[in-house]
Amino acid sequence: MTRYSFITQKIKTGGHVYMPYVLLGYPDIDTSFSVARTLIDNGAHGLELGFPFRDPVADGPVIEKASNTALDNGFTVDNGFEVISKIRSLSLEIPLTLMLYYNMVLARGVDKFFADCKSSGLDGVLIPDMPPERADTVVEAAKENGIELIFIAAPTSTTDRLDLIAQYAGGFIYVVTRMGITGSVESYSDKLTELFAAIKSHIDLPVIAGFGISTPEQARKMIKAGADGIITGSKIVEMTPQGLDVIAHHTREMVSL
Amino acid sequence: MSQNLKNDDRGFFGEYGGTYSPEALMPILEELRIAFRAAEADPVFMEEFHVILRDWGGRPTPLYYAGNLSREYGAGFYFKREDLMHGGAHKTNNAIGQVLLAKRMGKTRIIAETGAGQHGVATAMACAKLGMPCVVYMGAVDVARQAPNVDRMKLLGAEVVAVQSGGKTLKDAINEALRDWIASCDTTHYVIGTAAGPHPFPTMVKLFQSIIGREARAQCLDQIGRLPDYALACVGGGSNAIGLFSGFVEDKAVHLIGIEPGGHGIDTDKHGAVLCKGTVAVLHGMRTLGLQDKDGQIFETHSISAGLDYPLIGPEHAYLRDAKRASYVAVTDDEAVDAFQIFTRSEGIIPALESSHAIAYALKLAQDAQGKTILVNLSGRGDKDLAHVAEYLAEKK
Repeated sequence: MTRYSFITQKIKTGGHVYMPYVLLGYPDIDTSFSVARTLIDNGAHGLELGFPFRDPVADGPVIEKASNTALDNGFTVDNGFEVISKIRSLSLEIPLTLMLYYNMVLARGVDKFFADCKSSGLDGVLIPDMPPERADTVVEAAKENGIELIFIAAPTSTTDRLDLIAQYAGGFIYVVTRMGITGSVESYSDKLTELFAAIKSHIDLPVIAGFGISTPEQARKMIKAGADGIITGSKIVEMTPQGLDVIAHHTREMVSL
Repeated sequence: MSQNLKNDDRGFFGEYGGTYSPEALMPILEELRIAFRAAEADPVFMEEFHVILRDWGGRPTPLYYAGNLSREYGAGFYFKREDLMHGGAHKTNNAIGQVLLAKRMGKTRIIAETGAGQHGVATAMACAKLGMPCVVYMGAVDVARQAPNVDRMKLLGAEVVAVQSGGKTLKDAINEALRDWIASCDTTHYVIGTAAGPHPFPTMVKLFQSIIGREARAQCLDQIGRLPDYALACVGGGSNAIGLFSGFVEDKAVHLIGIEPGGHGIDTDKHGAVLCKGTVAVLHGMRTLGLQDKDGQIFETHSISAGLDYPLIGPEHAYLRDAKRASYVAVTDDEAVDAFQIFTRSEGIIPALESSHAIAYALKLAQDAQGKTILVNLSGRGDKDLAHVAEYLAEKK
């Protein structure tokens, strides 16, 4: 029983989930902690926590710029894990997923990295530049520490690839709902319904839509098309300079769709 | 050796290489891998590639005996004249190969990154010839220091996008090109300019550049009557070096040496000597070596030469280093600029700053290699660097 059952239960009872993304260390560690607390206080069903990386090729310009700010302000992986422990202490029930690039896992050492994930209270890790073909390099360490590996599915993923992803995936499937990078451009794939259905027929996990979703209207479209939940990424980063009240309002809207 | 050096089709060279890319790209990389393998095995495709290289590209390029330098330094210097290739550098080999492949795959748009601008120019030329629209991503710093190449690309009909993120050099241009490709891969082929990136790029770029080594080997046998004692090439991402080395890798008596950008010195934080100082890293779709901090943040590198200014390295070079089949050394900005001037005065040929790194090491090597034959890949011409060198020398005074 992992904390991801918190979201599966909610979905089973007919609800949807909202799991926003927080870039840790942006613009500084304390502010990012306050953002996470605001999201939890206002009902987020889980959090995606990002470690800033100088070369975030799977993210858009908003997250890249914010990542550079976080790193310029002194973010290190050590303080990243410290703040995750603090965020965990705010809620013992919601799943926390760390999103980071493969090179940061490698630099820490795979075993130490997953041990740190466990001790800081994480439930899963999403490595956007680690395809399932390369998952063999981390799967043992993840299992040993009870950490789920979260994978991305894209509109281009073939059924063979969905089957391959299913072999390693835990927690939920993060669905890229448009080709491209995280950001708020409105150009959704026409075939969303088909996409969600195809994923569900190959992988028995909640299907959470992300990439390019920033408004409740967009989120509703995704849910109507079959998504079990929503992740917003760049949105929270963009709102961070506007203050916690703005984030709180947005969160309540997204939670109560 | 030949078995070991041949990668399986997951694209690994020992522990390096492979495919570490976002899921959205994985099916497209697979499509590319299959298309590349089919093209490489298709005599009609390879014939078209070679005819274009000959009639449009000016191949084969000569092997030149540098008599003046040889007499002065006491070693036999031979230069593979990639600077005489159409476009002024070896980059044309790869650009035409990949754009041809893209057409064969039914792609309708080409993107590329460029550092010194040579790969951007080569891709823009290939796109003009083959009738494809072309967008080139180039770090804003490089746009400033390689202005003539920016003008050439625009003249050839390419759109040049100045990348403002990070250190605004080659690494950032690649990040931006990858983003474009993730969003556009249905219709677009990304022509990576060096033997790096996710599989099949390192293998594909090597195939298109291996003509350098094949020609050079035959020319050595023909003109010198034997193989060289040393084969030298500068290494940024590693495409001209892997092209040259591929011709000699089976000839164990030939010492293969790659020359990295030592910048202000490899004990400073301003260099790009990845094979000398790097540690295992995963970025830009491959497992390789990189210059990075303890958290895995990749550094910005420094080199006077924009074409070598890259904090990672093509995976096969990392493998050749570990397998001790090739060795890698660094020369500083100052040494490269000295060699640039010496070569120009002595042989009447203005070399690219990138190639000047290899020349600088060849001159050093001659002290311990008296009477030996040293083959150097003169990977490009230096016209693009004139303003930059003049400025550098003025600052030194």
